[in-house]
Amino acid sequence: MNEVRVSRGEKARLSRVDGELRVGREAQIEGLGGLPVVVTGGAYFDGDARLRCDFESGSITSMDGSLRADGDVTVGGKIDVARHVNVAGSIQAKEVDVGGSLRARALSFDWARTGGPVIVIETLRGGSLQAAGKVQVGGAVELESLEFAGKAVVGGGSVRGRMDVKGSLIAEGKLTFGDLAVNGNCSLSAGCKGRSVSMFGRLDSAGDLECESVQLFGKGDIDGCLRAKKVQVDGKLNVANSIQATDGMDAYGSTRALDFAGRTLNVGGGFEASKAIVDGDADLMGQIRTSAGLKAKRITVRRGSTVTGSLVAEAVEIGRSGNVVSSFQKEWMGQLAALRLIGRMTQVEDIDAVEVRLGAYSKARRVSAKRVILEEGSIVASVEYADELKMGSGVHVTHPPYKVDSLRSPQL
Amino acid sequence: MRREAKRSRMELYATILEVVTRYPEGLGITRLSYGVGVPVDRLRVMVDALCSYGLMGKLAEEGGSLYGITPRGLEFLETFWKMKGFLATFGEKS
Repeated sequence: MNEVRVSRGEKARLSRVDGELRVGREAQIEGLGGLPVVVTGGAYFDGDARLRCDFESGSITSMDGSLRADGDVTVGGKIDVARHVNVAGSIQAKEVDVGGSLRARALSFDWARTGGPVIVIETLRGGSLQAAGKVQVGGAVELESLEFAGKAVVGGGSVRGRMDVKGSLIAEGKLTFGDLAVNGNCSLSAGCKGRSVSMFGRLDSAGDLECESVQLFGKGDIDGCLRAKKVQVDGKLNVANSIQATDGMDAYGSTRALDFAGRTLNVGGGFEASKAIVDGDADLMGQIRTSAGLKAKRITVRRGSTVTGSLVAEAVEIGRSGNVVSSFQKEWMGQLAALRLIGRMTQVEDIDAVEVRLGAYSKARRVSAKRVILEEGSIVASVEYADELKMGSGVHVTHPPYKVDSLRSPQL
Repeated sequence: MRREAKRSRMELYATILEVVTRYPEGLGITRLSYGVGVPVDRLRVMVDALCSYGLMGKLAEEGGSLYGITPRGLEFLETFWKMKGFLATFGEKS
């Protein structure tokens, strides 16, 4: 194959090289008449490479130096540079493998790996990117997958597959993603959406966040709505607007939202909302607070829990043993909640249901149901029933229970 | 490239291991130094320490050694990032 050599320290003016280009240390390449340099084969650089032009080649290799280019770099195959790459224009290559840092105006690739930071002023477009240290993209990203350890700041865009972040991720614009896994800090702009978020650390969203699945171990602050199929929280979650979990939510720790709507709700710890509407079962353990009430098909309030706000359901059971919390996937926050509640009386306010069972040594304010069972030692202020009332020994009812022909329809 | 803040020893160890993880085929000390941003002579001391702790391994090669991460090194990274996650949760500077 034809080979063109540029000697060490030489300033060479080239236009087209049919074959390979071999460049000595500290040499510089310029385009003839300011035109791009085109190398049909590979370009090999000993030491640092300086390109004072637009450059196009089959491949670029520098095994012990850096690549610096004043224009655009277009490579059909691989860019393999041991040290740093600093390109004033855009880089387009099939593969990019840089030992140190990579800096360009724009970057486009199928596969890229850097040992050091990636800094792109405009857009970053490609397949899979692995980086360490820092990823900073001023414009949008459009990637298949992204894996990095350190700090990433992106302007928004999309990562279709997996986004594996160790350290910190800041999305300054709207980001869509496949599966986002973060160990550390994640700060998203409003309107981000994806398939799943798996978070170990701190999650902040400046607005709405929409996913199929959200798993949060740590702390989450969402300044908008959280819309998902399934939400699992082990820690603290604050949502400024509503939580919508079409498949359900398991919340251990402390959860606060404006309102909640979902298929199921399992709480171990603290839960606060103005209103909660659950299509299926609600299993509550800890401190549950709603101002407008909680409605579900079936509500279970575990022993030692305190519920503020009315409960509306077909069936309500108050004071069931909290030992069953271990069935909640053995999450440690749920176990902790169980330990805190041992020996405390279960307390609720108003209950409207078809069937109510008030467990031993539980306390309610008003119970209104077709069938009411008050177990031994329970305390109720008032009971109205339509079909049946069973009272165990030692039950205290402040006002005498009374039977009605029909019950009122409770509204939340 | 200049780094922003001085990194602790643990952060440097984690960075070294993270860079090495990106090269399953093995990585030489010089290329590793470009990724970590630490001169070779200083890096060699840390790499030797990591090898002695069993977090990295050396693959003997003609013309220079290549380094790779060990299962214990992966365990260190997992623990390191998990701790970072805890610190982030508590609002601590990590």
